[in-house]
Amino acid sequence: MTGVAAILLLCAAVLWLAAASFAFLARTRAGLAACAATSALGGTAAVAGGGIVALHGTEASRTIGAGNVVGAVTLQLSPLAAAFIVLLGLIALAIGLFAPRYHRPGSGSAFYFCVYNVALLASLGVLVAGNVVVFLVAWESMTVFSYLLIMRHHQWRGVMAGGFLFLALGEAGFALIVAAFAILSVKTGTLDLAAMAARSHAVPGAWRSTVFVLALIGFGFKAGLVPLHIWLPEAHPVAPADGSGFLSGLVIKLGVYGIMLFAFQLLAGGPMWWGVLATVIGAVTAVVGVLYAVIEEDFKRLLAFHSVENIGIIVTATGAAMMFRAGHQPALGAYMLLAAIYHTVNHGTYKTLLFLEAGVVEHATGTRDLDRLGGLARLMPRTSVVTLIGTLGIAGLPPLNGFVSEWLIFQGLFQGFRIQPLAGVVLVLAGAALALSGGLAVMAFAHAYGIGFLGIPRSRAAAQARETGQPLAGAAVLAGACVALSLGAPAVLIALGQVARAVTGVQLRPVLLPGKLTIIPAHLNFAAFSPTYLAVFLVGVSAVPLLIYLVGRGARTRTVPVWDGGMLRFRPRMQYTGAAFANPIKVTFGRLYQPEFHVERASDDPAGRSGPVRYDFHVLPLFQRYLYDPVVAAVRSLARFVRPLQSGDVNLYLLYIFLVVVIAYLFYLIQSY
Amino acid sequence: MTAIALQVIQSLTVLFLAPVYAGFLARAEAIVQSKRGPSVLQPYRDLAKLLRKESAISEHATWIFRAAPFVAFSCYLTVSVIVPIITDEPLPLAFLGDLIGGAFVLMLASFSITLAALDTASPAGGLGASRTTWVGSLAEPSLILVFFTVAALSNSDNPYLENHAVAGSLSAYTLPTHLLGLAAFFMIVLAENGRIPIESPGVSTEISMIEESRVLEYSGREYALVKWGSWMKLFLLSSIFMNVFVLPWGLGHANSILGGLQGIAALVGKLAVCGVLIVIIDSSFAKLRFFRIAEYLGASFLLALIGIITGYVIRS
Repeated sequence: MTGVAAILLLCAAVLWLAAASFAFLARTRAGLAACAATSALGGTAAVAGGGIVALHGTEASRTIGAGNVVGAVTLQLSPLAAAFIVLLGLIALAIGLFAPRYHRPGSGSAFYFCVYNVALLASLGVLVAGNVVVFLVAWESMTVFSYLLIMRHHQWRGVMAGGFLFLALGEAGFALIVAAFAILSVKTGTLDLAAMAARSHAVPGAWRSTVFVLALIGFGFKAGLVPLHIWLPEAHPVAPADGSGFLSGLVIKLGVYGIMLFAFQLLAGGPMWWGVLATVIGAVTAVVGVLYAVIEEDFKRLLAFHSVENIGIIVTATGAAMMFRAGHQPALGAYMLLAAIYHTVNHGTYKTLLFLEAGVVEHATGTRDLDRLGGLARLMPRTSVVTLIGTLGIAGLPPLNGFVSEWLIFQGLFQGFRIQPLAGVVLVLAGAALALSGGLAVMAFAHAYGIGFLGIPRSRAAAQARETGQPLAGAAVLAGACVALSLGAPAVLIALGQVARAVTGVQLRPVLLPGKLTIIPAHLNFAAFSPTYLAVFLVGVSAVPLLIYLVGRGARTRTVPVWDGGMLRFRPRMQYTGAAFANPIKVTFGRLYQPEFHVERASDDPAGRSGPVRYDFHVLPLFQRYLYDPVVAAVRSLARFVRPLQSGDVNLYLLYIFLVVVIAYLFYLIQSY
Repeated sequence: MTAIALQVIQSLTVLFLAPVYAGFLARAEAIVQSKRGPSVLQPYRDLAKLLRKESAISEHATWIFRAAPFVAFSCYLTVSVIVPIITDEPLPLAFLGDLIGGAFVLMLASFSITLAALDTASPAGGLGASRTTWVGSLAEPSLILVFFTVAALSNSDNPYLENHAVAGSLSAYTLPTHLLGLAAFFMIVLAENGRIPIESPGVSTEISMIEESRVLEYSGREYALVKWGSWMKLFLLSSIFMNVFVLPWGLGHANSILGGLQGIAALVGKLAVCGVLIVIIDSSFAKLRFFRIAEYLGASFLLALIGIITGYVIRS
């Protein structure tokens, strides 16, 4: 079976390569469609290939090239990566369906398509890399090509800055990842990942911990762990919609993959404090991310901050898995890993959906400002329904997929009493943090959907929104995937159960899924739930209120103007604004935001006729000011210190070379004695 | 067969006794305040009236506004099948969810009404939506901590097992984990149902409304569903509070219809106790200033947290 999977993944790679090579055709509409279709087909192949590997649950690897250490190229199929490959394929499929209507044919789009397909290929490379060199090359290509994706409209305001931040933090993370791999490969004496995993238990504990911390921070830059998250809200909004979807759906998930790869495969378990560290960072990330998301008025920035929150949830679950493993609860450890991967796939699905729809809305109205949208549920009905599915998913509400994985994660955290009390308390607090972030996520998406899509159009541009000619299929596929990931939860758990078994060696299956499509979290008699039947019941039981409604036989329903308290005319601006909607949060968490208000009035007429009022609200960029600015300042002053070395004088440079040669010679002389 | 019948009886109990519980609270509150008050059957009359009346719907409202009452009503009915209301053993459909599953379903109910409030373009709706989601999101952490106390006590997240654990031993009942979790949960019950000190029930003053302004645009049959739904929510949370935390005894056996009927009788008595408790609080405290609600919910959070930590320490 792995042979079939390998062939399918090879097909995906070839199709993406073909789409990249023939991207120059995207200058015409037909060429663009053909190119996108090829890319989507590649995505389908990747879904199938990854699915087979995950279900099969065995590893396979293949080395191509010479026997010398650096020259060999090793590729492997691992069940852990397979879950991410499925996500990659799904996103490629959706974007392939979305792109032909979203992009305008032209040379800019042609270049973009080339870059995008290479980025897909590089991401696949990261996931099938079997040795360190392949992994690092693929990782770096993924970063660089993602950067080029962001730069699609480099002449627009903010694009350069957002792209630079992505690249700069990506490279900083890359340096740490290289360091982690370098230490591990020196200590184990191999570059092959499988051999590394087999030998890493013999490495001294201090080195193992160093490697883990380096990997956590290094991959944390890409994943967007607080305080390394600041590139997300800058880079996501400026990329094209499908580029943002790819970044948020997949690229940041590769950071999660890296953390899982080190924690569960290469280092294969560690002391309790590793898990505690990851859990605490994850919980802080979740809360900080959502607190910034809930007050955001820019739809795409809101989504980007919310990605930070979800990465926090995933890393919290991963950390809890490590804690359970260290606390001699292997079944719970495997279960939490499964929950973390499930949530990763779910988030990749609905977040990509929402980014695609944000692009549609931006195309239709020309703005991403929620306070200038509104009324889209009536003007763009199909888009609104698809977005609502994504919204329910991301807010973690039944009967959609976000609810299933959040339920699984909470069930794991509740069982913190099974390990030592101090660690258990960490899990309790992590659970409270995730609950707060879950509650605020509901508020954030009530804000995004309620202000952005409902009510009266809040600007003329929004009132003129139409959905003819807008892409629909891509996001609709993802909406279908959201429903499938919820109703088909037992099937997903079978596949992910195989992944968890391959990674941790614990078979979860008979306890996890005893029958009746019911899910049991790792221990019998703890709890049970059935997302499939719950969804069916929720829909079925609505017959009761319908019956009551019909029995009521009320008089006809009248459509009337909205009640306005006796004003002469109700204007759209009299609606509740997004800023007002989120205001209670701004007050409650004022210490974090340290907001600055500016109110300008044309006059102070006591009768209330103040004329135009201008209201500005700014949140203190906490992390930039207190963390990044000092670092940047330090680098600058260091650079000033070093600058005299580079005078521009050729003779001086020749002198440097001479001195280096002399020193090297002296060094050689000393050594030889 | 008996089990299925009991399942239906349980949901019907919630459906048809919820209005009288609300009527009882209103009557008792009036009596405490030296007034006569409406009959306890008044809510039924209100429902009958609303179901006959025409509805007026904002011209800006979409299908979301029309669908929300049905979604919320279905959510409350769903919760009514998974928690212990009249029997002490899980009924056939209890496997649909557990405590936190029920909490998620209640969140869906609230979310649908919130969207409906924003759908009509009414400023009051937006105000209510914002305030209610704010209270709801801040209540979430302490609700989760209450579930942690349950897990620490009964090794489960299953309300039936918690019921057995607390009912079976007096020492478990008197553990600080249980008592503090109980207090924290009661504070959440008050907050979630818009009682004092969060909100004055039944008072329609725009400036102080939270929950009520969210449904201000509803009228006629839709309003009947919304109102009935909110009574069911109060009934459900009060029943969980009494059956799982305060008086875990007296539930009927799940093997006979008679057991179920006995359970209903016991439930009525317990809810009378809970109702009196709520009325006493309603009449003796003032409503909190809006932003101080955060402190109230923080207190509930801390109570539950102390409960869990003592629980973990005692276990080890």
